[in-house]
Amino acid sequence: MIPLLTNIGFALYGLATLVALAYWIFDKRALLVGSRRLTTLAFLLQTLTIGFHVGKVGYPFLLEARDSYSFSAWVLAGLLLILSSKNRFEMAGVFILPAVMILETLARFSKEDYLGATGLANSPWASAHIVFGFLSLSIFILSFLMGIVYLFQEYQIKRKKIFKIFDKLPSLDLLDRLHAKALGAGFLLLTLGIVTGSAWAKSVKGVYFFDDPRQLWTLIAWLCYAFFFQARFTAGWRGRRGVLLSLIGFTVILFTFLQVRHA
Amino acid sequence: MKYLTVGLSHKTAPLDLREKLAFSPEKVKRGLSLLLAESLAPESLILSTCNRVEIYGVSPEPEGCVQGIKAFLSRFHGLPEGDLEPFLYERIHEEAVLHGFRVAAGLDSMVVGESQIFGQMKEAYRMAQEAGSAGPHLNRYIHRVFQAAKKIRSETEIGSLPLSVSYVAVLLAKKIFGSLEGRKALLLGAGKMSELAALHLKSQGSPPIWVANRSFEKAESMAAACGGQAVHFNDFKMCLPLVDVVITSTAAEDYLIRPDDIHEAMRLRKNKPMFIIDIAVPRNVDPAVHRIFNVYLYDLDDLQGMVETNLKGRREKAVRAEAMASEEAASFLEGLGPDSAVLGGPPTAQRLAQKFEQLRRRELEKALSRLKDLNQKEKEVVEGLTLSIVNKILHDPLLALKTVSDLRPDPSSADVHEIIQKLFRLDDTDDSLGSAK
Repeated sequence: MIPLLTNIGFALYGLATLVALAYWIFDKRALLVGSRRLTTLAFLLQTLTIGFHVGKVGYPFLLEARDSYSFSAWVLAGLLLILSSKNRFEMAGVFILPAVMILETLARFSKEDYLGATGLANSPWASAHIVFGFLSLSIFILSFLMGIVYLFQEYQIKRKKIFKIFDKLPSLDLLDRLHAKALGAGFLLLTLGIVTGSAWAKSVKGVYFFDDPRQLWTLIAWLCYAFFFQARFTAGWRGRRGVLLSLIGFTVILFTFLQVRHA
Repeated sequence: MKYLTVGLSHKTAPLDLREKLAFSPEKVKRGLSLLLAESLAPESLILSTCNRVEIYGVSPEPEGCVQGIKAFLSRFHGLPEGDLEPFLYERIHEEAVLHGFRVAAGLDSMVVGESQIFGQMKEAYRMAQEAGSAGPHLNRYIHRVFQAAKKIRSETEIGSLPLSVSYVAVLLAKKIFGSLEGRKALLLGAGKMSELAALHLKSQGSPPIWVANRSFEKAESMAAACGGQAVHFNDFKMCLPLVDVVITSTAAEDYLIRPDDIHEAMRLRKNKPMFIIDIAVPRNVDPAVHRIFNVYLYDLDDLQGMVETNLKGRREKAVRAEAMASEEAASFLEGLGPDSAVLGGPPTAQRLAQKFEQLRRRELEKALSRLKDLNQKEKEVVEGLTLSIVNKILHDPLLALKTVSDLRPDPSSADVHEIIQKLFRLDDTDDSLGSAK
C-alpha cells in the first residue's frame, strides 16, 4: 500500500513540475493553477505516506537516506505551498518544484543506510540531529532558489534588459527578504543540528567533536553563513553581494550533505 | 434579424467632427427613445466616447435600417447628411458582430488594448437597458461580447504592458521596492515633469517627499501641492542618504549628482537600494552612478526604450487577440443558427409550454390551499381539470409552432416566434410570472 502511494506521489510531483515548466513556456494561467493543485495533492499524499511509514517503523525514524530525502522534499513542497499562496509569488513552483523532484529522486534511488544496522541510532539525539539537519537543508535550498531568482531580476534591472518573465516575478525587495529570512531560519536549524549532533557524538563516542570530515565541513558552512549575516548587518552587504556570499555557504552545505560521510 | 453597426471613430473622422457627434448621457437617453419611437430599429445601443460614436442595433432589414440611422444621426445633431456620410462606416451582421467583439477588447482603440472602452461599453449597455431599447437579441450579443472581452484581456494580457514613461518608471520602482508605501523620495526640479512624477508617487503611497529647486518659492509651492517638504537647492545632497527614489528634471547644464555623492549616500544608508530617475535633458546625473552597487539609474532614453519595447509587445499580443475576437464572433454567429429568431435557451414551443405549466402549478397550489377539505381523489380531479384546460389551450399554438419551425426557410417563421415570445413575455420568465400573480 505505502509503496503504491509513494509511487503515485512521486508521479504527481513529476507531473506538477512538468506543468509548471509548461507554464513558463506557454504562459497560460490555467497551467499554473493546475500545477499548484497537483502539488497540493502530492503534498497531502506524501504527508500520509510519511505518517504511515513513521507509524510503522517507529522511533528512531528517518535513519535511512531515502527517508530523510523524502522528508526534505516534503518540507520543501510545504514551504512552496505557503510561499505561492501567501507571498504573491505565484510562480515559485517553477523554481522550487525541480528541486523537490531532485530530492524525491534521491530518495527513491538512494540505497544508502546511514546507521540502521549499528546501534548508534538508539541515542535520542540521533533523530533530533537528523530532523534538524534535513529541515535546514530544505530551507537552505529555498533560500538558494530565492537568491537565484533575485540575481536574475537584479541582472535585468541593472542591465536594463527586461525579459518577458520580469513582470511575473516578485520585487527585489521581497526576494531579498525571502532569501535572508530563509537563510536565518536555516542557520538556526543548522546550529541546532550541530548542537544535537555533538551531543550525540558525546553520548556515543564520549567526545563532542571527533576526527570527522562531515563535522568539519558543516562547521565551515556554518561559518560561511555566519559571515553572511555579519556582512549584511554591519557592512550592508544586502542584495546581490549578499546572495553571492550565501552561494558559497550553500555550495559547502550541498557538498556536505551529498558527498561527505561521517567517519 | 440582423445585427448592424453605424458610426465613426478616430480612424475615420477628425476630432472636431467626433466632438459634434458625441452623445452626452442625456442625449443617449433621448436618442434611444427616438430610435424606438420612430421604429428605426427594434433594439439599439449608443456607444459614445471621445474616440468613437457608434450605434449598435438589430433589424430584419438592415440596409434600410442603416440608412435610417444615418439620417437620424444627422438630424439629431443638426448636421447636413452629406457632411457626415464620408466619415461614417456601416457594418452588417457578420461584420457588425465582429466589430463589437473587437471594440470591447480594445482592439479598435487608439491605444491598442486599452481597457477604458470596456467600461464605457458597459455604461452604454446599462443606459440601453434603462431606456428599454435592449431586447433579447442585443442582450444575448452584448453578454457574449463582454465575456469574450474579459477572456481576451486575461488570456493575452494585452493591457499589462505600461505605455507611458511615468508609468514604466513607477512599475520599475515597484519591482525594486515592492510596495512604494513609506518609501521616501526626492524631487530635483519643480517643472511639469516632476510634478507629474510627484502625483504618480503620491498615488502609489509614497508620501515623505522632499522638493528641491533653484527657486525656493517654486519648490515650496510644489511641496505644498504634493504634501511634501521644500529643501534649499544647495542642501539637497543631505537628503540623498534618506531617500529611496530620486527624480531629477532640472535645466542644469552639468551633472548635479556624481558618483562620489552617491557613494557617500550609499555608505550612510548601508547600501539600501536607491532608484534614480533622470528625466532631464541634458542629464542631471552622471551615468557612472548606475555602476554603483544597489543603485539603479534610468534616464529618459532608457524609459522611452522600454515603452517602445512594450508597444511592440502589445502589437504582438494584439495579433493573438484579433484571432480570438474572430473566433468568438464566429462562434456567436454559429450559435444563432439559421433561425436567428429563436434566441437563448430552449425553443419557443418548449418555453411556452413551460410557462403555462408554471402558471398552472402556481394557481393550482393557491386553489388547493383554500380547499383544505378535499380528499385525495377530489384533489386529483381538480388537478386533472387544470391539466386538460392548459393542454387544450396549448394544443393548436404548439402544433402551429412546430410546423413553422419545420418550414424553416420561410422568413415569416422568425416573426411568428418573435410575436409569440413578445406576446407571452417568454424572454424573462421570472418577471412575467411575477406580474401574472
